[in-house]
Amino acid sequence: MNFSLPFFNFLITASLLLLTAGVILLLIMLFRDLKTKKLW
Amino acid sequence: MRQRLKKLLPILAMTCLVILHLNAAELPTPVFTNSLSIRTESGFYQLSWHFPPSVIPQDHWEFELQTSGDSTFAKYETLYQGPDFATFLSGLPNGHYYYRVRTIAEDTQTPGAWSATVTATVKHHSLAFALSLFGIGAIVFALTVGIVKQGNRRMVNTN
Amino acid sequence: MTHFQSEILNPVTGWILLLILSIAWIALGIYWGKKAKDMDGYMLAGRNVGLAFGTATAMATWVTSNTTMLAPQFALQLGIWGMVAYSTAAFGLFLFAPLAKRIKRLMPKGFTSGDFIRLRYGKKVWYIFLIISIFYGFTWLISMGMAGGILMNALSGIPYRLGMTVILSVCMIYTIFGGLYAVIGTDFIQSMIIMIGVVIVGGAVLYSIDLDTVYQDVLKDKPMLLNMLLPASIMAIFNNLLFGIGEVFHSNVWWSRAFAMREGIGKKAYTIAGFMWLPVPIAAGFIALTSSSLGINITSPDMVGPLMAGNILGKVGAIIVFVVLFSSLASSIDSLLAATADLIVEDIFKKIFFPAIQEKQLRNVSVYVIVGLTFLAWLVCMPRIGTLATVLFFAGPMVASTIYPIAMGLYWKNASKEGAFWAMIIGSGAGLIAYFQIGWYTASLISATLSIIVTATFARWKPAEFNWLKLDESRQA
Repeated sequence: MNFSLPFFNFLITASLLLLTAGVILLLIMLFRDLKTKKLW
Repeated sequence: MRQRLKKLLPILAMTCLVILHLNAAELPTPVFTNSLSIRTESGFYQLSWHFPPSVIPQDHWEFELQTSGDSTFAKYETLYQGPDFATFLSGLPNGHYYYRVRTIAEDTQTPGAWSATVTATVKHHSLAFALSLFGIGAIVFALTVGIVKQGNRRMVNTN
Repeated sequence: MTHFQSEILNPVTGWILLLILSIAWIALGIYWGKKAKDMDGYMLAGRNVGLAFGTATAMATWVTSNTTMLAPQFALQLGIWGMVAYSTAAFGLFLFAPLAKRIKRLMPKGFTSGDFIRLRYGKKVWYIFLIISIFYGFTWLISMGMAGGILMNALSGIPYRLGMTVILSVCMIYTIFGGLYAVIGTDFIQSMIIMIGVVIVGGAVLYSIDLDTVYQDVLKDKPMLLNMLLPASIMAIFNNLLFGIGEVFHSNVWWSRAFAMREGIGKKAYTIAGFMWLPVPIAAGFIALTSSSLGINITSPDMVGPLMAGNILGKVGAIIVFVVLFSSLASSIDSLLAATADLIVEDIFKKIFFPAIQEKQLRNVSVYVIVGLTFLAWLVCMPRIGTLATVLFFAGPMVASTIYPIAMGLYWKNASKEGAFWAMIIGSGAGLIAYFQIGWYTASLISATLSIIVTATFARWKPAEFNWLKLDESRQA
């Protein structure tokens, strides 16, 4: 029983998308913390 | 003069042959540094080789690594040809695999002698064993999540 | 040994990159370090770290050289399940998230994970815990020092010893100057570099090769890698997950961050960090599977990631890989230096030998300990014994045995010191036996299983009755 090609494809694409979302989220959080002066 | 040349010709030819032969013989036989009989339950291993210490490796030498399903190499496949001293194999199904390596002069493509043969036996863990460990892992993981979740709920309630 | 293919970047480029990054980290470390006025500032960044920095530091620290080097290796050895198995280490962060909240609540003025074990279970358990924890921290440090040297060497031909020395000393310098402020501040930048770098490399590889071909070639050459029922991989899944949980639950690297984050931040930060980390092993790992299609000979599995990225993307790819790896190494080495030094200073130096020591002196001791740790790690890294990195896997069963003494100890009044003691001894012992008898991919699993049974059994039949208030030392003073 093998992993299918679509699954393989999905796994990789989803990871890259999730990472991109992570970058954006991190930036949003940074600017929010900067604005409220709650960086540290 | 002609007679002399005729006499010399075979000698010349012989010398040429001897020189050629010497050249070929100069190609040293690589020696596997891994065990000659590999047993694995995970389907991956590294094959590596080197020259005996007396040999000074030359730039135009490379290696040819062959694999076969039987020890006679009646049917073989060239796995690798190049200058590296190792290769890594993985994802192999159950079975016996045989490997041998030799030196090749890159310019003339003359090969040296074959190394000793490596025999690799791949026999994966039994699926039942693997699945039972998987099951134990799943239970332990679920319990861990349970401990943390339940603990946190209790903490929220007491506050 | 000439195991490796010729390097992808020339040494001059390598040195320039190394120089730029080193200067940047040190300058930032010194700049941020000025914020550290007292020991709370130096060790715990003022206990007021916000969500952005909190998330980034958890994420960046969890991305180590191992994530970027070992994930491709897992993919190459254990296939698709291997990548997924590596990803499950994110559960260490997910499950630590609620713990972080609990820790901050119970010990608002705590410093280290050792503090917790000592107050919760007493001295005998604490000694064993310190041995496990320091052994783990130190082997982790060594494995990264060596990885740094090997990578610099393989990517750009910088001699192993020089590269290793530079990366260890750069991290040491900025950690000394800036304490946890420097560590967390640089972690933010490093986590951005890591994520963007992995997306670029992964995306570019995806763009330049045909996934369909890759799939077919793997199916032909390494069929078991695509098999859903590859036994070693099936075992590796929960093993790796539990290894990850053990690493995070016990290690002071994570506890000090829990103490450092502002009230109400820890749980969120660790959860988001888990989601950011989850895709990294897959995005970095799948590249290893392209080796068959491109006909590239892999000599050694731990170099497959950087090698493939360099081969597919050329010089630009190699530069990105270099920067990403340097960042992931630095973000973990600095954290490890800071947290292990804290553990030694707070738990051993202060609590065992000099309880009356002044805060100012303590900070000086901290500096000596960081320098000493770095020097020791450097000494062990010098001979480049490749197999030493595998010592880190030894730590797997040891840290997995601490999971339940920690988790139950934080939530259950009846978890007892005998339970914790025997859980660590029996768990570690059995795990190490499994390591040699069955394979490394079962060691943490066996250890955690025994640890949960032992801790729970003692809690049930020889219960303790712990008073939670005892954990807050500031209250007693």
